[in-house]
Amino acid sequence: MSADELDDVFAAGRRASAPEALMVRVEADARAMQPVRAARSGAGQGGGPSWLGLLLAAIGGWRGASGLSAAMIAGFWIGFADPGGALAALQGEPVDLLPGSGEFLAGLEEG
Amino acid sequence: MGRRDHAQAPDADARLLAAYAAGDPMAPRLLNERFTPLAYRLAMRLLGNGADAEDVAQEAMIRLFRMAPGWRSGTAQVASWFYRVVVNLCTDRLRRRPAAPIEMAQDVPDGGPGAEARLTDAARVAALDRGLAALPERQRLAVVLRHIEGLSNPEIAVIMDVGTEAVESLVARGKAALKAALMPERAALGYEEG
Repeated sequence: MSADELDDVFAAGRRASAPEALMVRVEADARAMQPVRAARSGAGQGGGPSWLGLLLAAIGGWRGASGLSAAMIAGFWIGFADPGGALAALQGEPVDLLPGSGEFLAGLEEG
Repeated sequence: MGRRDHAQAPDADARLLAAYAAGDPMAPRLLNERFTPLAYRLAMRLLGNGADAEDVAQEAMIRLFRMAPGWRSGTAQVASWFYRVVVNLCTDRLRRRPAAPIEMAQDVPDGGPGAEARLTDAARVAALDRGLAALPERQRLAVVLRHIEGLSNPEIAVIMDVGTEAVESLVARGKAALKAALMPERAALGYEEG
């Protein structure tokens, strides 16, 4: 068997596709297991998930966030995203440590 | 799917995983389309059985979804991690029970345009699976990762946890053995005598 003929056989192996029923089951699993999406995370804008979306995914989504006080959530936010640069605050420069937090905390109250 | 798809994937895979973890509604379908065919194809070549390959693919994807929120970019490539999961699941399955009979890789509809080509393809895949089944496990894995998944030897070395030279040796020996196994079937696979 020549090298080209063997390559043909390998190419046939690459073309073999997954059954549609499997694809359907796996997508159902994916949706069932996916962390809850933040209502106003801005995910997908600029091509990637927002920090808010990632933070909420880490603490179990809106349902997880609703069990924590606003102060605890603020602490997570500062530690996770370092918005504005905490170091700048130490150097005496005014820093907004919670940019966008008004909307974020308002969303917690709704949840 | 092959070397080019795998090589362009690393950053894109990590971003897709992050989007899934962030709840992006498009991410489940995109992850499914990116990884499930890869898992099924690899499991099918290693196990030679469709039902087993589907079980392995579905389990591997569940582990991917479960891992997604904790994935940290820069530590490893998602695809390398995923290949290892599929390989380990296949190895576990092979160890637990004897290999099931090799079956035709896909159903081929009767008649219609392209039916003969699809029959030929199906026959070649079945012969490929019989030939692969006759190889020692590590040669089989190395040949599949190199010549069907299109991975480089260093990438395969990471997945198999061996050196690159070991991969080169496994691929060379496996390919030679596979060629010898397929020789008697050349005519049946649509290749002319000569």
